[in-house]
Amino acid sequence: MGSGVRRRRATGPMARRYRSRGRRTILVLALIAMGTGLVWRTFDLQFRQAGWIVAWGEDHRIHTTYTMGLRGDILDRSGEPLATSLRWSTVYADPSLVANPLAEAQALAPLLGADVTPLAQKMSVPGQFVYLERQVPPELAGEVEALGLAGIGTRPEARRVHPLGDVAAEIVGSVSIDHNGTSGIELLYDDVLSGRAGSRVQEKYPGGRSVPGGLDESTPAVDGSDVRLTIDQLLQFEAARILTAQVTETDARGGVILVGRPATGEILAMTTATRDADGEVITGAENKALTWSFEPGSVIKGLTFSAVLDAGLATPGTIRPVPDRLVVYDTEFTDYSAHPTLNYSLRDIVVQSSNIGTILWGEQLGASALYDYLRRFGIGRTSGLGLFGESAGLLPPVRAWSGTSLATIAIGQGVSLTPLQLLLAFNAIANDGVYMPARIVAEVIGQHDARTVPQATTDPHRVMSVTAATHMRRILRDVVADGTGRLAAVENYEVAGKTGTARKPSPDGGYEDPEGNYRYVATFAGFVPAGSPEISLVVVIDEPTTTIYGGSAAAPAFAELAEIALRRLKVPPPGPPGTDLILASRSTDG
Amino acid sequence: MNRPLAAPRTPASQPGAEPQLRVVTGTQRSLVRIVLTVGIVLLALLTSLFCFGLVQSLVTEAQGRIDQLNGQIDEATIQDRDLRLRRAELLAPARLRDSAANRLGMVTPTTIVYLVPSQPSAP
Repeated sequence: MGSGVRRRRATGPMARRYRSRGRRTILVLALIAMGTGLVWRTFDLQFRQAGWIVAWGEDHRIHTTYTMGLRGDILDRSGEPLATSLRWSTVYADPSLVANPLAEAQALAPLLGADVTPLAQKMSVPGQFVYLERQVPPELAGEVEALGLAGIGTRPEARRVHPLGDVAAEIVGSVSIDHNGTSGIELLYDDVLSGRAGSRVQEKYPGGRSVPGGLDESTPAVDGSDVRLTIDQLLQFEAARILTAQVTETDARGGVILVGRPATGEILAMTTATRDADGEVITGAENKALTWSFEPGSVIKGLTFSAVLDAGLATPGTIRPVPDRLVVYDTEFTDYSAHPTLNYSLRDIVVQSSNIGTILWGEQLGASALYDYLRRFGIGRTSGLGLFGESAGLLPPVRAWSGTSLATIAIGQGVSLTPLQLLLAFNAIANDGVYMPARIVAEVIGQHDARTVPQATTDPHRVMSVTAATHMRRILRDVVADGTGRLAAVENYEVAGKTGTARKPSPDGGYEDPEGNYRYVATFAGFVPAGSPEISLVVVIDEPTTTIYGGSAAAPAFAELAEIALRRLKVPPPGPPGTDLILASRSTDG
Repeated sequence: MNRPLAAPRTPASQPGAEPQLRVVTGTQRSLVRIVLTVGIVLLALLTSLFCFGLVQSLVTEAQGRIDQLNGQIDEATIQDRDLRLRRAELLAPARLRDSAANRLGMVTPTTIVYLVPSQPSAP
């Protein structure tokens, strides 16, 4: 028997109507609730959470690719690259995404050639970016990408390379790992050489293909401009080779060679040799051609007598008696070798490199005039090239001269100049008396091959008359033909130049070191062909020991390099009147 | 005055050729027009969609080709740089001198012979 009372369901029309209305109400309420829910959710998604949803979507669809603007090349005069940049890559880690640093380091270490432990330590540091290996080749970057390691990525980064090794390294200079110029042309033209990075924002499918008609905005990268130098890579290489050999042969401390074109002031080669810690002769480490100033010695007589000739005090044949010693103020000056008082022409004084003859003419010229001429030759001021660390040398103002200054400066002591200043001064003699500012940058080549020629900071100016320059060239030709510069002679050509052998000042004062020894700088400066100079050269050998004289320590290097330069620049030797000679053959059996 | 005979308003009925005509109301005519219009619109829409899809697929294909070409340009640019570098290395004076002296056994000439060019003969 049932214990409860079974409630019977009402079945009347009224009851059915009530039940139907109730269901409808529930249904309507449910629909309203659902509708409200949908509206709320829509509102929620559209307004409250819109930001992160859009961001999430963009994260997955919008890809930004960064492209680098490569640093411009530094080219030699014929357009061959001395420094260029390659598109390499850098391997980095986002430590916050690296789940297992040790395992990933073990996978990466063989590729990067690194030890596992330090690699794993780098991946474990807090933060979101750490370099693992900078500047790796693109193939290696591809292998790293192929590993698909979490938190490990690559990004483009340029690498600066020098195809010719250390040829012209002292001129080109260097860049930091971030591609900022730190020395040489790289520093001087950093703004011009630097590229500008670009980017491309694209909407992409998950597979990596671009969405047609989707977002595609790009800011193109701009490569830096190229800088073409006046340097000739072959002459630069030969200058370095010959200088290295000469410094080694003379057991010198170092040396400098400069090659230029007198008519334009262009520098064709500029190299420095020094000895490293092991005593080996190396080139390209520093640019002493413009950072090192030295007392030039007799080579400056070429400038002193240019002034005497231009001032109209004498002609090359003017004769005066020259003793072998002379007391000036409190100092006795002597010629290289003892001789009775001789009637020397001005030409003879230069050819024999007589100190006393030079001092006598210098005194006749006067301190102010000598100073003015030396200044016009560019002594005592920088060349205007703008390269970092250039020395102005030392030419004291006349008011600071002592009783012996006129005598010492006239023969190249008590005044200091850089090898570059010496080259430019001899260029003026070769260039009919007109001083041409130095040029080492021929042009800047920008986008779309737009070329601009940098303006020199100093203007060309006349130092002396054409007549005086012509006289001086003939005298300097005789120095090589009959005087102290015979070893500078080049077969088939007339060479003009002047030797210099100067004592080096001791750091403790005077010229003698504590052991009573002297140190020397041997120099030869000149140009060729003597009649119509096309090439000028300066060779400076610092502290030679096997021979100390400019005529034997420096002149042979001049001759060897001058011969190469003449062939390189296709300068024919003078032939019979009205003809030019043609290079027919060279042989080794003659 | 004789009045002309008017044409009969309805054709004479012929047995077996009863015309299947019915009176079409204005509402029905509108409905037909609407259906036709909607149909044409739908057809135009479908055609447009088809054309759009076709254009879209062509654009997608072209975009893929552009992506591919861009990739090839990048690769060629890198290759060009590498080749320029390689060329410069091959032309390096140090390498040429080394090859000439050590591989080919060449030596620096000790004498140089110059010739005087012959004068052009008179016409």
